[in-house]
Parts: sequence; structure tokens; C-alpha cells
Amino acid sequence: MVKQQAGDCARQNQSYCDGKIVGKVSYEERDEIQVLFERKNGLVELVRSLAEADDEVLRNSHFYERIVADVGKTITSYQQWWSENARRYGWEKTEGYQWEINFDTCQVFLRKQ
Amino acid sequence: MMFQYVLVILEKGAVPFCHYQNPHFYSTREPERMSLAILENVVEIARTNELFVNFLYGKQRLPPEYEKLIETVKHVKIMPLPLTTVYRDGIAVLDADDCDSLVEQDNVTYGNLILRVEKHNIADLSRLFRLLQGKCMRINIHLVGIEYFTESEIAIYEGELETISRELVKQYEGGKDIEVSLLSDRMLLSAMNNCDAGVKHITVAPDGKCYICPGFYYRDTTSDISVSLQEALAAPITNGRLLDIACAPICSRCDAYHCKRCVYLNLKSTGEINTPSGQQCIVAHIEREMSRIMANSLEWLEGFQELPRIACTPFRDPLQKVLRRNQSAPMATSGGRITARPESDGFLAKVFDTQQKILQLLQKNKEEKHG
Repeated sequence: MVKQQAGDCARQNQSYCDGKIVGKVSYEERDEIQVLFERKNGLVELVRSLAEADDEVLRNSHFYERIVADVGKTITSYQQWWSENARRYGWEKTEGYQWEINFDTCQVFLRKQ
Repeated sequence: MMFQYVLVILEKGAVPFCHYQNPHFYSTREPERMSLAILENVVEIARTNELFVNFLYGKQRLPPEYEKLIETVKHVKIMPLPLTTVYRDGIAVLDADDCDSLVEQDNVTYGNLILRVEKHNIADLSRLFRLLQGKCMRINIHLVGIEYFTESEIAIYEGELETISRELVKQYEGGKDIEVSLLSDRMLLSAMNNCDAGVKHITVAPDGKCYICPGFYYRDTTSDISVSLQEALAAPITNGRLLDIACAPICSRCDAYHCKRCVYLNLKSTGEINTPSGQQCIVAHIEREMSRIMANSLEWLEGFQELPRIACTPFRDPLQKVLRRNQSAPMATSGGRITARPESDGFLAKVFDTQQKILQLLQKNKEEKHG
């Protein structure tokens, strides 16, 4: 199964995303995935920090449920973005490879996992 | 509507050649072409109405029946650079990202080349110009994503353009004949020469529906003007007068004549089809200023003396011109006294205050003399 993810490719140096270019998205589509990518990372980081600090927030069922719901919703939207755009633009996929996006160039790469 | 020409998008993945984006162009999927029946209909209407046609090609060669049909109408072909090896009369479109890989090892020369430059290519612009020098007579540069340009990127763009203009001056002094749209066009113009989408031309999408320009088609496929070219020619575009420069309050006061005045970008960045974003205006005025400096440094050269003079302006954004005019407009109440003064108009305010003081002094002196 092809894993879909936006790697940390927000760099000007194209060679950083050294996979094969399989497509490109519009600026608006790039903005959507960038927001989701940052939100996903932020939430994951938040949960990790709270867990490491053994924070009371995670023991509070109300907050715990809110965080779980938010993480779930963000990851679902994130995956949907990749599925929808891959279908719309017919991006090539290969077993053992994943898609990545360069936020500067809007190019989508296929790179070995 | 009486259009001069029609843009025909031959397939969904046709090359984007202007400010708009088309992610379908980068897809590896099989082309979703305009049906032959629709193309026949469009070509027939174009012939009957004496409309010139700009055909937009995708990455692949067209089937022979399409090729044959296209040759029956007056047209130009706009296509990705690699396809010009098949269609020698095609105008090549090149993404700045592909410039190194496609141009460097290529010995072919192009008369007219369209170069699409994105935000991340800006710092590389003068190098790209050097790379393309000698390979084409004219480089049409289209900036993509202007609406995302920040102040610092605009400053980088200005620097790159300055470098290109200096090299261009050297070329002209050496008797070479090369044009860079962003710099050469304004020197030759004495009136607006915009894109005029929806006024001079209209676009037919692969499904046969009409749009103001390809940008509108790729942005939102529900924003079609009508179901067919025939209907678009017969009926006016809804709110079509807004596309006219007379209905664009900022643009109609501007003299960046070379500016595309892209109505698609207007709508995208300001929500108004007749109002440009600050970035569009500033970028166009930077180009205008560079053209002015170029024209001045070339005025000793034969052929350049006859060019229209470009005035020196104290602003970078025509909006400042509009605001300045509004601020200096007299504001009077029914009593005839000036009651409100714009804060920015500090100098006039001081003059006004001084005059009031002088009047008061004169009045006081007069009273003392007679009293």
C-alpha cells in the first residue's frame, strides 16, 4: 500500500525532494495541505509533550476526548486531500513509495519509503 | 459580442501559458481531449465569424483528424516546448523549473517563447534570461502566483529585472534585436495594451463551454458564460461591462500600458473582477520604471529617439494616485468654510493655519489703528 504523506519538503532546494516528480497542485491546494500538515504535526507534538509530562489534561476525559477527536479529524482530512488529488490528477503510485509535496514549488514527488 | 479571437483548450491537460495554473498539465494520465465534433463546430464558427484561433495543446501530439481540421482556420498553436519538435510553427511555453533541462542541451532557436516564472524562480530570473539569450527573439515572461509575492520577493524581483535591463541595454547598443516582454513592451506603447479577456477574446473549454479565459475554466468549472461559442457570440457576458477598462477605476488612471490587467487575478486576489491587487500594480510599476530607465539610457541610439516618452512618477502603486486625487479634492460645508482636512495633507494644513494667523494679525492691526 502506498503511504501518503507530506514530508518536510518546504525548501527551495529542489534536490531535497529527490524523488520522481509525478504532478503538481495549485497554490490553493498547496495551502490546504500545508495547513493540515502543520496542524497534524502540532497536535501530535502536543499529545507527545503532554504524555511525557504526564500532564493532568490527558487524564481529564473531556480534554482527552477533544484531543483524540481533533487528531482524528485532522488526519482524516489530511489523508482525504492526498486521495482526492491523486484521483483528480492521476498521480503515479508504486508499492513501497510515498508521495511528498514541496510547499515552495507545489510539486508532488514519489519517493522510496 | 464581437471578439477578435478565440482561445481553444484542446484538452484538459493543455499547457498553462499565462498567470493561471493548471495542475492537470502535470498529470501522467491519458489526455482528456475536446471531442472532434465540438472542435469541428468551434472551427466552423470561427471561420464564419472571421475569428482568429489560439489553440492550446497538451503534451502529446494530436490525432491526424484534429491536425487536419486545425489547419483549416487561421490560428496559432501554443504548446509545451518539447512538442515544438513536432509542430515547428508552435509557440513554445516553458516553465522556469524546466529551463535548465530543456534549453541547455537544445540547439534549436525559438522566435517567440513564453516563460512562466513562479515565486520560487524569481531569484533566478536574470540567470534564466542569460540562458535563453540567443535562443529566441522574444521572451514573454509571465509571473505565476503574483498574489503570493511578499515585499521582500518583490524587492528581489526588482533587482533581477534591473540586472536584465542592464544586459538588454548592452544588447541593444550592440545592435542585437531581442525583446523581453516585461521591459521592451512598455517602451513601445503609448496606450493600454492589456489582455482584454472577455472583451477581445473568449475561451472554449474541452467540453465546448465558454469562459472569460482559461484561468476561469481551471479555477471553477461552474463559472461558464454559456453553453456554446455560438451563444457566447450572440449574447453579452453577464456584467461584461466590468471587464472594460472604463469600469476599472484604478487601471483607467494607470499608465503601465504593458500590464496584462489580468481579470482572473483581479477576481482571485481582490474578489472584484475590475480591481487589481497591490502586488499586481506594484510589479507592473516596477517593470514600467525599469522600461523608463532603459528608454532614457538608450535615447541617444538611432531608432529609440522616436519612442514615446515615459513620465517619471513618484509612486509605485497607481492606488496612491487615486488616493492622492481624492485627498486633495476640496471639501466644503454649506457655510463655505473648509471644515475637514485630510491628515496626510500636512503641508496644506500648515499653509492654511498660517494664512488664518496672518488674517487675524491684519484684522487686529486694523482695529488698533482705528480704535
